[in-house]
Amino acid sequence: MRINSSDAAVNWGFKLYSVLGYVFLYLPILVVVIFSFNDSRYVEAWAGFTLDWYGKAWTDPNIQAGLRNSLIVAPFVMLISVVLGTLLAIGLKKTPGAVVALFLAVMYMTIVSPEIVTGLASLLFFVQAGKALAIRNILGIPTIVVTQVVYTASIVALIVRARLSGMDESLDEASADLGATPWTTFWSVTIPLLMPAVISGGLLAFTFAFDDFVITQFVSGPASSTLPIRIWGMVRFGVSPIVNPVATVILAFTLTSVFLAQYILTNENASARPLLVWVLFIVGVVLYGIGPAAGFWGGLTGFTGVIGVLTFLIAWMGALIGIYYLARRVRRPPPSRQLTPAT
Amino acid sequence: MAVATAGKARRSKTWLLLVPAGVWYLVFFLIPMLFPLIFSFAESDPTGGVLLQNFSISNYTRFWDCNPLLYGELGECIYVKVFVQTLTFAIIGTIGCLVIAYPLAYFLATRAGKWRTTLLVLIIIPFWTSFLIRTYAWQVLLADQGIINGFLISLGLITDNTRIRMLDTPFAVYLGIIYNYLPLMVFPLYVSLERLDKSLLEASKDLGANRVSTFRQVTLPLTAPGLFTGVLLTFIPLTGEYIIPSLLGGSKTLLMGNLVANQFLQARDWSFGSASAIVLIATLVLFVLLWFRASGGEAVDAI
Repeated sequence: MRINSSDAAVNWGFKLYSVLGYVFLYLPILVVVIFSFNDSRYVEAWAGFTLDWYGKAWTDPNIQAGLRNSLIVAPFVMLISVVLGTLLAIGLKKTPGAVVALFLAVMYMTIVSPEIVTGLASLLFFVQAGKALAIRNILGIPTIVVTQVVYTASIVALIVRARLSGMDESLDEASADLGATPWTTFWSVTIPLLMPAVISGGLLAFTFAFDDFVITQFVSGPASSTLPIRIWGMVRFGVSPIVNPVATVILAFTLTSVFLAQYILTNENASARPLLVWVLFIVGVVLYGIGPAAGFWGGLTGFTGVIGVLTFLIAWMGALIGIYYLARRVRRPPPSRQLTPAT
Repeated sequence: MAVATAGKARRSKTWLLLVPAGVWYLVFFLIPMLFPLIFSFAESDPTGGVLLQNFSISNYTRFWDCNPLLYGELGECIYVKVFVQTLTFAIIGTIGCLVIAYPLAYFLATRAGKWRTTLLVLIIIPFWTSFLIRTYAWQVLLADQGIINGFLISLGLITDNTRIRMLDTPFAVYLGIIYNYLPLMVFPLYVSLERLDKSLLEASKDLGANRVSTFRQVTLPLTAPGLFTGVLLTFIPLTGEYIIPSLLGGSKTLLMGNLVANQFLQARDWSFGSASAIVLIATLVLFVLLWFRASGGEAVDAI
């Protein structure tokens, strides 16, 4: 809805302000990206284009270890929070108001609480649990996953819930009228319609789990430092040129993921397929990171270097496309239910 | 008939869906939240952890140990100073965010036309990227040997000896705060402004009000829920902020977040750290209660 402004200057004022706002928002990101290619230790001035820092970051053992842990934590967080969050959102739709209010209150608490509070509370809890259960060194990847899920499950639940509230209830009823059990309705009607929201929520959960720092710092052990913790160690005392390429790659992944997720969420008619392809691509990256790459970092398995990465990813995408077309061939249409003809 | 039976079967089973998440929240969120409370009254174990004995409020008296007459003297009221500084940054930071976010949200909601959704998504996106990286990026820009200084030197506006000190200052911390929390403030404001019935603004103009009056008497009151939500969503995490003062504020800026983190990760004084955290949480709870009272419950609707 446009407001007719008699004063065009006000309009231009707004536009200028907004442009400045967007420049402000994206300038730091751009700067990090540009200077990751800078042929100099210092960020003072542009000294020429180079990929050296990318090479140094790729072979840095600190970064490798951190990346490996992050790539293990994030998929688990994504899967668990998608399951918990989706079930929660669907369950909340059909429960009385008091229960919903209670759950929503807890969900908002998990999201809004300062991370330092959740982090330290979880730390105390795990340490005491460790003492009670006689587990030494309880802090590790499981504790990281468990604590992050608290936050990401709420995010997924809220996203799916928003999608659910816009959904047509009559579809559920129609399905029941046609004789489907609630279980069948759940799988054939509800879940497919929710898929875009579920995948978007999962993607956001993945990026949060990958990027999280404060909570992870509290509940991780020395051997389970994730990439953000390694980055923190490097930037704690000033600009470090090796961080720029790492930051650039992370930004590229998260910006694409979030953009796709938001695009799917805000456009009702958008197909979820690009999102699905992107998610599967990330799965490939994860598998590479903890599989062949681990071998690469410890030894040689054949998938080494830039050529190795590209080969692996092409093979992975090829396999996915092949599976997709095979599935389309093989899948049989579900048996159609015969309605009793009216006499 | 089928609908009724299916409905009944559905209703009896739906609570099952809530169990996984419910149990998870209980065990891994609600119960852990009790631990800082309990530990804050206990004694720290010198070998690490907490001794659950000799319960007292000594940690709290230590935190609030402050002689107002000596406030500001070296070493006096050290923790109270941190508390006050945190509130200062949080309040001013939230107001700053609000002031800067409002025109942006207003533009998006009323004058952006078909670009609205895309532009909104573009604002939200940075928020989902790594907080750490976004804050680090300002280090790159603001450092003495950083990009802005380098750029100004190359333009000849300053020399090598007259670099502008931007990092490790309160200015840098405020900049970091506004940068990181801006999307969080814009979004609720936008939602509220977007729902505003624009014809009311036209009516106001028809009745002779100028732009400022219209804003004050029509727009602002009607979009108050968005404002309340935005302030809430920004202020609460902001009080526990820890990354920004560490990376951008230097040694001079010690906020509650840093204090608590230090007690846990370095000083290993967990009972005192818990007490500090409880002070933080209590402040937040107090703020939320007061804020909800002030907004008359409208904030909830906006969410």
